[in-house]
Amino acid sequence: MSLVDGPLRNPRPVIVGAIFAASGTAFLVTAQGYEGGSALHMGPGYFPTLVAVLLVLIGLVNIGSAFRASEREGLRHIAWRPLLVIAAAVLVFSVLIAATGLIPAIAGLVVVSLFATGVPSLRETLLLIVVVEIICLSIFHFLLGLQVPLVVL
Amino acid sequence: MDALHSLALGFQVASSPLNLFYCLIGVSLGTLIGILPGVGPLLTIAMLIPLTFGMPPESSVIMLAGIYYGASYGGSTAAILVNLPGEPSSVVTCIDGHQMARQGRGGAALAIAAIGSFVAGSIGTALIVLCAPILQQWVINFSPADYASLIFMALIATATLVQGSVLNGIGMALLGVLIGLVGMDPMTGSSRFTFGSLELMDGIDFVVVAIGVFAIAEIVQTLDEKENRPGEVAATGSIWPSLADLKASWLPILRGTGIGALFGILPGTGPTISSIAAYFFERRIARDPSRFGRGAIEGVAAAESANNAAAQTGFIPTMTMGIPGSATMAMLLGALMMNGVNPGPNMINQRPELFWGLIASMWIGNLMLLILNLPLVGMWVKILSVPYRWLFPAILVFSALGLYSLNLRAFDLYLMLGFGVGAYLLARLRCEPVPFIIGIILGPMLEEHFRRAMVISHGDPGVFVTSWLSLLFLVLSVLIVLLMAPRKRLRAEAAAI
Repeated sequence: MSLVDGPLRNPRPVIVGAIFAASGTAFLVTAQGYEGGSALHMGPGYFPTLVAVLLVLIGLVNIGSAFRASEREGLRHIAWRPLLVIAAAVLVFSVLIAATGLIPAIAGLVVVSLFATGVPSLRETLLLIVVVEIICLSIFHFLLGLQVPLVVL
Repeated sequence: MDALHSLALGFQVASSPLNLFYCLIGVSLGTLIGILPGVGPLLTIAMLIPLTFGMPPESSVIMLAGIYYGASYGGSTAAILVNLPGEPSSVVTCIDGHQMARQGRGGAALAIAAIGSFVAGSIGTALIVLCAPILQQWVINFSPADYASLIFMALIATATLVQGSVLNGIGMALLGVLIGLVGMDPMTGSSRFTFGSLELMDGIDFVVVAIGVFAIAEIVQTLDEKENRPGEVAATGSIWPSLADLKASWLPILRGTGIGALFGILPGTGPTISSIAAYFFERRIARDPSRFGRGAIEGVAAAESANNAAAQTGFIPTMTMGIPGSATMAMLLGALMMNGVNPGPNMINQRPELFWGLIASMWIGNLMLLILNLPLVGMWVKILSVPYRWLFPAILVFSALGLYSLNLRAFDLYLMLGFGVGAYLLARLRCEPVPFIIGIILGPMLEEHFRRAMVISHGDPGVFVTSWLSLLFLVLSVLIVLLMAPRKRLRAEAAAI
């Protein structure tokens, strides 16, 4: 009998619980570097320690609840393509805006993000770049006077 | 009366040309994004917060609030004419509203939705005028222990009442509290959880998290769903409701307003739950329940009044106690904090122009919406033909650029991306971001009052149970969890079967 068929039919609480417990532990360990103080004179570490301990406990209870066999529910799928493409688009923007200026950064973000659902047509891409550039430049550059060069040569 | 005097000040603030202009922008934008499925008020407010930086706080909150209640108007338009709930709060409006439209009575449905929203909005405003000063007077005398317990209760209630399991909600709230503590400890000045990074010294900007969660995570989520193409746009017909329509609607409007006003004040509930509750309440008390689902005007009237009333009264705990009951309210508070306003019971006294200006602007904004929505309905519906494929790159650029414009550093964008990806993955594990967002806002406040209470009590934690108010809040927190947890489990089990 594999674990997934047996007591662990529901992996979700285990994953969630592990995430909570792990992040709680990370905060807990870090907070030990700060002065805890006493209940009367609380240092900067006192309250975070308290909350982090609670978070670890919630995580452990969550893991424990997975062994109650009544629930059966699969994990929801993760849309990796849109997730990674959009992350890449924002990264491209972050790099380009300092290196090449506003106009290429906007264009770069639009082009990359369009791959989130499929391969865009050239006409659609160009049209969208022009529209987004016009909207964003008129608001951020002309209206708000954002101090970022349009193009770095 | 003092409240009337203050309200007069509010109208003076709200009717300055600049604030009227921001109000108009807010409600127009709200209507627009309310119609568009997949683009909600949370995303829009997150996107616009950077632009409000440096604006007078009252102008920024007038505009951002306009987006919020304007969206529920727009949501009803899309629900009635094309059977697409533009907003979650309009889901039940689809049921009877679209049936009415198919019977050629779309205009009447739109008109009743608009009138109901306006009536509910006006009553909501009146309630705020009546309740806010009383509540604020009450809360302002709270001891730090009482206030800390109140914040704790608000946090627990939001974590418990949102979708998903109670454990996940509480975990997300605690995670939010910890993230909210990053930066300089306000009491001792030492830095916490910054790992020596200068960028983190001032704490994690609220807007960084908000844009990550509501732009990045939402966009990925929406791209993954099958795009709902609008079908046939139903004909509007006459926009004048008949006398019989009005007669059938006025009581449901008032009942919906009552339900919505109540749910709006409670933490963790809001326009969506209140519209659903109001709809099913009407169906239950109707003489002939079978009419519901076949174009009963009462269903539209009650649901649309309820969501607008809830949208208004949600401001009561936010503005009088500094405690946001929903993610939208947390965002508005976040925007205010960014512009130098300290949330808390002193907000009304210290910034009367802010609070009363906002209240007056909501009434003016509701009037604008009435005028904007009915005659221009055809124009708004055309927007539905813009595919999401074209919208999200623009939203992304706008969000990223707005965030970058605050500090001109790429670090904020990386951090935002981190929160976005994390929030998306956690949401797939049924951990909703709402308690997390509220935890970030409430975390530092909770710590401040907790520490103050402990100093006053000379380190005795008993102070939280010897004050009867504090004890009441703590008992209520436990009750909320105990009452909700088994119910939710039952529902989850029923859904699994």
